[in-house]
Amino acid sequence: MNNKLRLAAKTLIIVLVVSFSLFPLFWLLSISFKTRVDALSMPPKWIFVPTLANFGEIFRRGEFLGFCLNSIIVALGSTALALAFGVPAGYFLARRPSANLSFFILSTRLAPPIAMLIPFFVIFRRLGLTNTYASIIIMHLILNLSLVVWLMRSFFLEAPREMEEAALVDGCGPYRAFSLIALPVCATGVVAAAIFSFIYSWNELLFAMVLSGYSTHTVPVGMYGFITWEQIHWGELAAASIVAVSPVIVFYSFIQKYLIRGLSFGAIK
Amino acid sequence: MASRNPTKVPILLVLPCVVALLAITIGPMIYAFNTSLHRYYLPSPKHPFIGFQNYLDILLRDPRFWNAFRIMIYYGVGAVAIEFVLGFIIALFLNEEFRGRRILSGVFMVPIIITPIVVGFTWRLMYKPTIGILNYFLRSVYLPESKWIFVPSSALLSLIIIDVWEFTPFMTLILLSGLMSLPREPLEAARIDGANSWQCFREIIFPLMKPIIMFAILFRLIDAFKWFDTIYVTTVGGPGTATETLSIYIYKKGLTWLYMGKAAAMSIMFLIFMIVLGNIIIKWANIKGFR
Repeated sequence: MNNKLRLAAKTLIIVLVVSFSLFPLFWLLSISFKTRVDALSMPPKWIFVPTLANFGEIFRRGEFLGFCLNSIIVALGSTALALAFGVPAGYFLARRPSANLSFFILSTRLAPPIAMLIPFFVIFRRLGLTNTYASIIIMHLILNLSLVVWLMRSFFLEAPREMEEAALVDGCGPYRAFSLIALPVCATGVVAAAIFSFIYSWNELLFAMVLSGYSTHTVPVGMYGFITWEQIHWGELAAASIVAVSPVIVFYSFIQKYLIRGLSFGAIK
Repeated sequence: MASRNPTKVPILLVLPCVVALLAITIGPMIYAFNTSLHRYYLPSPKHPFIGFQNYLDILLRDPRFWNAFRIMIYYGVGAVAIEFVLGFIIALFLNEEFRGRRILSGVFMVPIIITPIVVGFTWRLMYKPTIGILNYFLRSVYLPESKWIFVPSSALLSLIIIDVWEFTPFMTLILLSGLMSLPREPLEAARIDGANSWQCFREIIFPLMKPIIMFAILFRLIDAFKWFDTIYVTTVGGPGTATETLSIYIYKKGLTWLYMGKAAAMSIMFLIFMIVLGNIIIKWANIKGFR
């Protein structure tokens, strides 16, 4: 009897939790398929004739596609740099632990983004870099770098040293030991780190909003513009949101295994 | 592992990273500190040196700063407290094997990675008093409606709800991983000795989980204090200053009103505050051997 009660309670909690978690997204999804009339009608129309007009409209406008392109450029650039600098650093910290170095690299995680933005804004303005991809990519490095370093460190720690040591004994140089032995073993880790970094850059609003000019608006910035300036067509906005969020959800399915590890910077597996 | 001799790993592997980080963190902070010592109104051509005047003005003559600090603390502590309690309860329930557990965790964690602007926009829509879906649900079960983010009295709580929605899964999963790594013997022994669930929890589970609890709470707290995106998209610190956290206030001061000197001073102080807080979390993570 008691077992049945527990099972029922558990199922109820699970159903509640899942519906609470997913409801806003499903609701958004439903709006994106609704016509202008149906979109925010009260009482809400649960049964309606779906339409693809909203999705068609946001791409027809042309600027949205531009935002997507900008987001891709920024995210790829930032990820590439973060990997290039961060993966070797993570390897270093795994094989040659140093409390001070670890603390320094981790401490960049503590910095409030706005605190970093204030000086950078003045600097970039002076250097004339405000309408470029470079400024946003550099800013995104601030978080992505420490993320990649710590995530890779936790992956490299799991890789057995013996193979590298055997290679070193056989006369292999330390750089080759890293790139030809340790790296391939942790390839999934590198991919996971890349995806985390990409997602972060893609989602980021503050830096992109302040540092981008008209031609470098990323998706979050473009969407924010829709909300404040345009006469709001909720259906289209919902469609844009779904498109903005889709790559993240797709990528998420690849890194789901590593989510907690990534979010806690390798501290928890 | 730490007891082995460190392998010959060339420092060149980590040097680019360190140099890059120094360039994009320490460098600008020095520049920010310098800016904070001047009267730096962006449009004006002259930026006279005024020493620590900005700091004094902010700390002693700017009640809005202290309001922002307070709101930030309320937001962070409020959100994390709720996330912790809810997260723990859900983690305790998820701690047993059952079918579909993997899928469930997968689904459950989705709110964490959704683009914050989409989160903000969606909730802003749901919170609309007349055409929003939340009040619709309240009406259909005859509960009183709320004005959510559009009234100072409920605005902060509404934002906290969004944060709870977004990050309870994170808290749950950290606590769950802690629960799963607990040794089984003490619990089994206690049950054999006749302890009930509450006693098991209070005397065994909770004390053993303390380090991971500290880690989870401080980690979330730091993130909640820094938080900007969804707050900016939903209320921009409003109505009035009801939800104006320190991040939002610094943004307004420096990037909307262009008082860079004051904004820089607040940024420095914010950074110091976060570093002090962060030191605590790092000490805990190291002491308990989270590597």
